[in-house]
Amino acid sequence: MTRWSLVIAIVLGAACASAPDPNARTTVAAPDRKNFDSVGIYLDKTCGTLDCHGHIARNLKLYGYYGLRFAPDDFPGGGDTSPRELDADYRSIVGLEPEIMTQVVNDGGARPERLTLVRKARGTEQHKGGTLVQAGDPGDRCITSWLGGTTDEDACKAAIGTIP
Amino acid sequence: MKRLLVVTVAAAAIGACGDPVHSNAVDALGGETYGLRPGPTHRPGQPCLVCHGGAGPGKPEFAVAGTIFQTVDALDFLQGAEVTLTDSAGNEITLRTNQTGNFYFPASNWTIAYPMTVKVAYKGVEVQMKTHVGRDGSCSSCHSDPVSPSAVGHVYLVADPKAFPK
Repeated sequence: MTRWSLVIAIVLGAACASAPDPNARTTVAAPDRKNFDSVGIYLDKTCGTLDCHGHIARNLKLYGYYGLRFAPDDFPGGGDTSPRELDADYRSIVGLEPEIMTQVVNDGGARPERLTLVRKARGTEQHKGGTLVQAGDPGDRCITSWLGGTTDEDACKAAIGTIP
Repeated sequence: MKRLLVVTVAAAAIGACGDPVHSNAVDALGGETYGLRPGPTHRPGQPCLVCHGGAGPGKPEFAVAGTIFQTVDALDFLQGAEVTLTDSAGNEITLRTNQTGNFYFPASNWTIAYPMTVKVAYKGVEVQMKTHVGRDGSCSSCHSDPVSPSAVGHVYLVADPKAFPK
């Protein structure tokens, strides 16, 4: 065995030495579901088209009127976005980066750009779907105000109205 | 020398494998349709960029391509429709559909800044797509039949055949 093989074996052995703690739990602080509806509708319209986050293969998967539907008998552009779809959208958003989401929420929504969701939407991180909001514009405020605990409903309405 | 040979063979083998997801998508399209030969009118209604998206086997590569049909209930091609595409950088192009309703634009001439909006016009009827296109220049990736929770059906000008402009 060469010296490098020995080093690699020791490193791999150390990496596998401890089993994960089955009782370990991570407490997640998430923005309130009650304040999410208008945020979810905005995200569905902006991000949830069938070719983007309304595609079943996406990590961040969104359901709603403008894209993927939750009910098997519904279709894009069919019924209004349902509460079940908004529940699913909420879980998608909150579950994407739960630890970072917790930090942002615990900091009252400060520095929301820590979340990939915000960076991608602002286009400050590579995003095939392009730049969808600018920091401080209605769409951005719709998302970040929700992260801060009080959804800016006027911003969400304005944002929903500015996209086709 | 022996090690170099092994590395070369391994690299060639990996390269030869390609992308099985893409290969499966190409295979799923099946053979040519409507008795048409490969060319500008072929495979109407299929997701063009599966083959013409840069990974082959179709050439040239397209930035955007699709098919427009006349009505919602039938697959009658719409020839002569104007399809206007506007990306988020303000670039706008208008394309005209051919005999099988197909339109396309080469990728070498346009890198689309998504999101992009789409409008179809024909003999005074103008239809704006309800949503923007977020990232896929292949209309039929989403506009496939039958309508389902994840598919919106083929692109058509009017729902009611009586409303189709003569």
